[in-house]
Amino acid sequence: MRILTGFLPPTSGQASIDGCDVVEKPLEAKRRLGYLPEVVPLYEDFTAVEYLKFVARLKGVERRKVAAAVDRAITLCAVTAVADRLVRNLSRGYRQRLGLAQAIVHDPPVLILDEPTSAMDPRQIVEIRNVIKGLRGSHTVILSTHILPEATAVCDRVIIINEGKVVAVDTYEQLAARLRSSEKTLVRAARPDGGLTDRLRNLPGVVHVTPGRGPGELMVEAVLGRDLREEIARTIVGSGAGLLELRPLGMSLEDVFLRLVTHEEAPAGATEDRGG
Amino acid sequence: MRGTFVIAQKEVRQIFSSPIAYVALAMFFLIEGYLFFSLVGVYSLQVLQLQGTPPPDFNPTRLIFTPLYQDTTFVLLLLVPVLTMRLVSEEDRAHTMELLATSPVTATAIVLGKYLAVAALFLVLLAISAYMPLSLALIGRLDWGLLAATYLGLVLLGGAFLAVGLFASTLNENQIVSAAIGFALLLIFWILGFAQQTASPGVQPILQALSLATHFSNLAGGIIDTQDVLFFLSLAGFFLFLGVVALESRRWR
Repeated sequence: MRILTGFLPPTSGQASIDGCDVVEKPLEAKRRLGYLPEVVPLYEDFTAVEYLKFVARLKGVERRKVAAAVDRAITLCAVTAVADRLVRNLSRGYRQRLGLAQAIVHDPPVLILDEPTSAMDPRQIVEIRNVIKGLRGSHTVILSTHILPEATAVCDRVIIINEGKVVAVDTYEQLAARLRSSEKTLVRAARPDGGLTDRLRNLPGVVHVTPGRGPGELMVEAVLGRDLREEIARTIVGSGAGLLELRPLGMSLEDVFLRLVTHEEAPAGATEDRGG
Repeated sequence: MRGTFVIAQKEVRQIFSSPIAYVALAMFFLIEGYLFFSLVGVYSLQVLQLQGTPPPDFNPTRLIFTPLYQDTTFVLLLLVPVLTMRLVSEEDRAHTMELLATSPVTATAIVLGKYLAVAALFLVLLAISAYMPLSLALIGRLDWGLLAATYLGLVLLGGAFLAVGLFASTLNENQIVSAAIGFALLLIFWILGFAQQTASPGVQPILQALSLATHFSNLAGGIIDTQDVLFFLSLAGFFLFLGVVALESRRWR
């Protein structure tokens, strides 16, 4: 990612932004890029507005358009309230938002955001995600994150990189569908003993029935493409075991990630336990 | 070179919003003021002793201002690394170098912008120091040609010092270490001439040519020699170039 920003040179291969090679035409590539590094690059002695004006000029915004560009970034990133405060007095959340404002101030076609929601409370995270979602369509946004639910919530496409190699590129739904080997359903019953396990196992389509983590929980695995929820419910209710809960287990991005980076070496049960 | 001016503007804003510049200026003028005061004192004592029959080269410019500005160069040796130490080091520490490096400006523009800003501060300092000859000009006659040559020497010397200090600042993210490196480099250039007499005949002219003190004393003596002017200009150019190279080479490390 730092190669794309022009901060590090590539040792091999090519990188280009909006058609501009980062080695051949570094200045053109950088002009088309907005970058929010992991540590937000802020000047403590500046006010938020002064800082944004400087960045706008630095990124090549014309002098007479600077004020408008800064206003736009301030409004988009909701830093209006602290616009005239010194950066050194801003909270972590506002610093992060100012960082995002800095990245979009020159309206670049490509944005690279490194962990944009770190050090934020849940409400701020939602706000920032909404800002990022708002940029979708008009900008290409590359978002790097270790918070996988964030990728699920914000991103259209997911790229999983393990040890420098791209392991998967696809939409989250596609990835999950591709890696799913069975339909899993979690059930919880008040009285799971008394042959309930055997009776579920005998249902057509069921492959495995294993005890779940909590008391009275059972994990029912069926062949791919068959929804057995109705049959399972009928069986449990019919046997008088007292059905308390029944839900299908999808595959979270965590599961997908683990599956991909561990090359499916982990025991099958390890990832399933995380489901839900 | 777009961006040079933007960065210079930002640096000026930062220099004057940090206490370092003010403390450095205050200390500089405290020392200069004391030097000026004592030199004027010695001069007036000599005037009394000579009882109105001065020898031909007895003039206030040579007796007060030539030694004053010789001493000033030594004060600058200590002052300049303090002015330049934060220029790049601080950007590294605050991670703002990542912003500059990923913006559409070249390393040359970054170095030049910073250099221009700190050179502006230095010129302000020199301009203020002109109060010393101007105040004496009210009560006596001064050799303005000699003073102009001396000031040209100070501008050139300062310009070279600042480039060395700026280069030192690119080497490290710790301001104190940057100041120490800058100070050491300047001191090396300063003392190079000390070994002139004892060095072998082959090395002697090289040492003399590299010595800051020799080149400055020519200018401070009222002689504007292109050799000396070029020495300071090329020293400044060389260290600015090293600064640019140091910034660019970071990407490969």
